[in-house]
Amino acid sequence: MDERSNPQSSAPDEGELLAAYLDAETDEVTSARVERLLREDSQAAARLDAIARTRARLQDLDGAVPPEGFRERLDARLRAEREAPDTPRARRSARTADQRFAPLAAVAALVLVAVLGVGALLTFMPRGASEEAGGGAGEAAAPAATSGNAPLAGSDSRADEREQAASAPEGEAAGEELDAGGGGLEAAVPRVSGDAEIARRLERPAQRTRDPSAREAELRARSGLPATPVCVDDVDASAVDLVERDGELLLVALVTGGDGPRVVVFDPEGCARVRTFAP
Amino acid sequence: MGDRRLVQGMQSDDDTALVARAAGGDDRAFDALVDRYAARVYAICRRYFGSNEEAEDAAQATFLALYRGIASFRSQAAFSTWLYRVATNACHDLARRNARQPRTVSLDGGRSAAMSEPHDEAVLDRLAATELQSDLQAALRQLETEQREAVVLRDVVGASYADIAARQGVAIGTAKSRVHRGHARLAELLEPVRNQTDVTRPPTMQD
Repeated sequence: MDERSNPQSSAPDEGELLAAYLDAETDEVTSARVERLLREDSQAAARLDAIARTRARLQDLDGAVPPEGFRERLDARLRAEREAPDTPRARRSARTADQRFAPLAAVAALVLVAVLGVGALLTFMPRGASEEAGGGAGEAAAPAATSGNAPLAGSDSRADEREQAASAPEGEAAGEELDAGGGGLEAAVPRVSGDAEIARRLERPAQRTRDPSAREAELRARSGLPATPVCVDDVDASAVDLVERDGELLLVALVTGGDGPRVVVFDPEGCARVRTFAP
Repeated sequence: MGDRRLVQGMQSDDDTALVARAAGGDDRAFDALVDRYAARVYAICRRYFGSNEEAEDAAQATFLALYRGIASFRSQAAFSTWLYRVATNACHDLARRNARQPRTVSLDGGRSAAMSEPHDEAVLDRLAATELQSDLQAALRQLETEQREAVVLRDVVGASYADIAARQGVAIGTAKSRVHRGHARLAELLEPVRNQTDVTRPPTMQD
């Protein structure tokens, strides 16, 4: 019997949806619904686990043995990922560290501002006014308490500044260094000011790739973009990069063909071709 | 590898602690998870592609994705279940990039599965040659014929959905539906105590 031809059974039940989700065969909307269910419903989660165990048993997954050197090669890639300073994980760690020390920073700032505030009052206020202020230190402490929040907010700001610094065009040397540490991948999103700069970047040996789709995937992952769509699937690209120009994120690809090399500029969100130019 | 606990899905107490530490930036905890699951992930990918090279690429992509996204693991499901899906997704992505489908298998003396007539005995022969545990064999026998064939082709033989659809003379969507319903039904049969949820209980995912 064809289940799809039977109206009674055409709608997927929860078990089928869970199995389809496990099989990565659900669309984004359905996956999001399933994930919400899994967070909220322990029985659904247990059911999914049971399906996963059943599949593992059917597939007898203990039969395959990774090839020699698999773990070493994986470790090398993970090491490169860890050493790249601008991965989402690195950014998260930076924020975590800042948040960890934020209370101390807040107290330190409070003390500093209070001391400076009192000092300033004593220095610049007319003696009489200073005396009128009476509990001047206390009043100075009030705005200090407000600004004492600044380091808390500033902890994120500092993390953001670091991100911006990592993204900022510190010069080609910085980019080269990241390339080396990142296993041949650009770890930041560099700002560019013109076509010539885009072309120069794409012509650098570090930007060349034999697997443009994989490179785009890496660039997307590192910059926090969604994994799909993949823009370079339809072009024969020999180099791919992600750059920021005038505050706009652009995916650029160097394409070689019968008409000579061309740089194709994509909007990475929807893969629309923004334009094409000769390098 | 070879640890039956992994085959059984592994109770996730240890995993939960490791995942929490790894999500907090503890690379040693992440390495421990890699140690624990590298072979399993590779096996999933090897089964998907049938080639060592692509399996390795996909397995490495799985762990890179895991490294970047481990903090997003929020499910009440086991980490091993989540990782299974991450690995399957990585395989899909690589297959899409390589514009290749999972391997095409031949079941009947060199004839491709796509050319074969539906023939449940051939699949059952293949199944008999596989050392599945008796409870799994018994549960499989309780599935409808087309469902059982689809599940065995998919998981035991490693056929693509396109091959299953061609073999059964149905649309790919129907082949997927048969496989997924078969998985859900098998899980209910094999773990009835754990699965006390009514299959038709309020459709919270249909909201």
